[in-house]
Amino acid sequence: MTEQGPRARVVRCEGLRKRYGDRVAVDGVGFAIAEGETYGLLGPNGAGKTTTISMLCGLLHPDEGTIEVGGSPMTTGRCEAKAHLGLVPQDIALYPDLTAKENLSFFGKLQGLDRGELRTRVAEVLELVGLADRAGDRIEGFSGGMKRRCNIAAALLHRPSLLVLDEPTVGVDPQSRAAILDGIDDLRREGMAVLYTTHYMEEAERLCDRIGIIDEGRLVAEGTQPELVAAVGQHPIVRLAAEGDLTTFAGLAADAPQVVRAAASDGRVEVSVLDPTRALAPLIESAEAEGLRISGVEVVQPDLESVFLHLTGKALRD
Amino acid sequence: MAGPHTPVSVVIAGKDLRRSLKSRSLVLTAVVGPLALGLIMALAFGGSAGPSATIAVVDRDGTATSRAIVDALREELRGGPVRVRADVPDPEEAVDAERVDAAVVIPPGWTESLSASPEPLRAVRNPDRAIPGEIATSIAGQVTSQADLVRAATSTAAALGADPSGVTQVRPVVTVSVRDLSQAFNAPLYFGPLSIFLFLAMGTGARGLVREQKEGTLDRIRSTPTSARTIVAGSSLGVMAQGLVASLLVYAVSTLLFGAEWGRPVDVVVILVSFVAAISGFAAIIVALARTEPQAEGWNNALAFLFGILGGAFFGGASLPGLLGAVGSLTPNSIAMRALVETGPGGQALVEVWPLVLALWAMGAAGVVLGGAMLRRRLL
Repeated sequence: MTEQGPRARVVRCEGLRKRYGDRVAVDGVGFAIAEGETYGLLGPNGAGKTTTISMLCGLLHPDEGTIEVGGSPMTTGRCEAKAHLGLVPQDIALYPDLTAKENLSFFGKLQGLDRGELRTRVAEVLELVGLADRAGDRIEGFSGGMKRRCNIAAALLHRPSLLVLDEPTVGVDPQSRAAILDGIDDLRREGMAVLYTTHYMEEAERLCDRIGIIDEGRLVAEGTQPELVAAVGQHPIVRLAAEGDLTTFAGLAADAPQVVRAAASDGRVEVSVLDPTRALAPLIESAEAEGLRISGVEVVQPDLESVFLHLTGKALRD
Repeated sequence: MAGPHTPVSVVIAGKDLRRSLKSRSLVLTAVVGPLALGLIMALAFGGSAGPSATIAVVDRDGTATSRAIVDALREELRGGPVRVRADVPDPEEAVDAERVDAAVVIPPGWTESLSASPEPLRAVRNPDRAIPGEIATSIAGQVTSQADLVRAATSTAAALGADPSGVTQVRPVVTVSVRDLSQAFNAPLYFGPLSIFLFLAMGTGARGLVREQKEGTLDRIRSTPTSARTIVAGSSLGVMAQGLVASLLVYAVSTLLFGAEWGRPVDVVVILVSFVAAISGFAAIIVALARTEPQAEGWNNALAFLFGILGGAFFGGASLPGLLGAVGSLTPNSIAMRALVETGPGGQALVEVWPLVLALWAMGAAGVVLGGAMLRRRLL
């Protein structure tokens, strides 16, 4: 996440549109990713992430818009752009009855690696994902985490300039997840551009330099995490769990100094404040004065989850 | 192993072949199955309760010697699996109408030719009656050989100043049993089951792209610089490779272990490759037309057995009577069987059956091109 001046753009897509009958799956999505940058594409299920990725990887033809990867236009046929691309699909896209080495050799050959280079790269990527000692074992005998790592390895053989990872850690044990995230960090440091989709907000916060939030086919926000928080006007929230006339109290609290807004729901009052250290004590005093019996107080700093919730009205896992 | 410049379609085909060999499904379905069934049929056909054949012996010479030959053949073969009929005036018509399975013709002037160079007896064969045809050819050959021996003995006696009339007259001693014939030429017994099992196995292979789409590997392949045309070509090539490996294994094992003799190896391989190409075409069309993988499997299996039955797979290459036989003769199974029979031991050269080989390739090319294009539009 260090700034090193202008970096070459590896991927650029503009005005992507895709329609299935009357339903618009993707509506004018556009973004760019520079080398050494990790871009997170977040959105609830059905938001248009998979369609966008499919168009970006040349699996689906966009109705409108342009895509360039490595400076070459992306098409659904054979094209130069695909030589710059490494795709890690959400599901394990490997042949279970072949060994890890056989799988990697096959996909390496499709990327045009010659025999010598192939041998070297297969050994290197297996080492990279910690599967060198299992090279001769069939994929069907691997654990879920090992399959995920091999799934990633297959996309790295030809040293792509853009790595597209679609939910690469789903169903992975914590140890394997940590190894995968560390590996992606290393790749980014080596200059690889990474497009990352995930349902795990902490992964996006940890990995992504910039984030695009997609909802109902549109890119509704884009920027670094602080930029997104600032752009949607998110503030710290004081949550009071209490019994009593919460609605009346919320109305009073909304007019108090330091308070941006307040709302009551489900046995608690949520109060957006400018500075929780200054707002907290007056709020509690006011609540007690109104006869509320407070059972809990919580201060929540704004994060990506709350930005996402604010923008889409849904939790990321919805 | 693919080399540095191996075409991508070959890489894809190699992967498919490797997977099918590793899973052993190909070997079990398309090799063990036909060999087991073929061996059972060969043993059954060789037994005393095996099938019989009716051979017409037509005397166009009309001499005492030729009549003696006909009588001798009837006597010689009495009680065996071959029944001799001497009351057939037109052998070609009788064979075509399937009133007899094959015929042996003693040509006019045959007795006269004995003193110089005996004219060979002629066999009339029905391509759909492989084994009787072989029996007729065998009888004709044995009688001609013995006539030549008599001529040689007569000439030698005359040259030595002995009385040639003392030389034994031609009295054929022919031995025919279906067991002998099945050992000499029983390719139909193995090819029949092979043609069905191969259809089943290659149908599984042809559904590979649909499975790859479901499993996600197709998207991964498509994200590489590989054209849709190459992917479909590679998949088709893989299906053909699997069929060819299975066919050659059945050919090799039936020949080396069970003593089957299919004919000239090059001819057999060309015909098997052509048959595999034809099956690839049908398999491709089925996969392209079916809406789901189970539906494709059902259609493929049904067609495999339909073609097998109509094409004579269960009858040692024999065709069905009437309309069914006419329809059956259009199946790739029947066409390939005819080509194998025609070019079998002592049979015609491969160039003589080129229309059959061409027909198989035409079926294959049409199916692969059409099915491949439909599949490409659907999946890629």
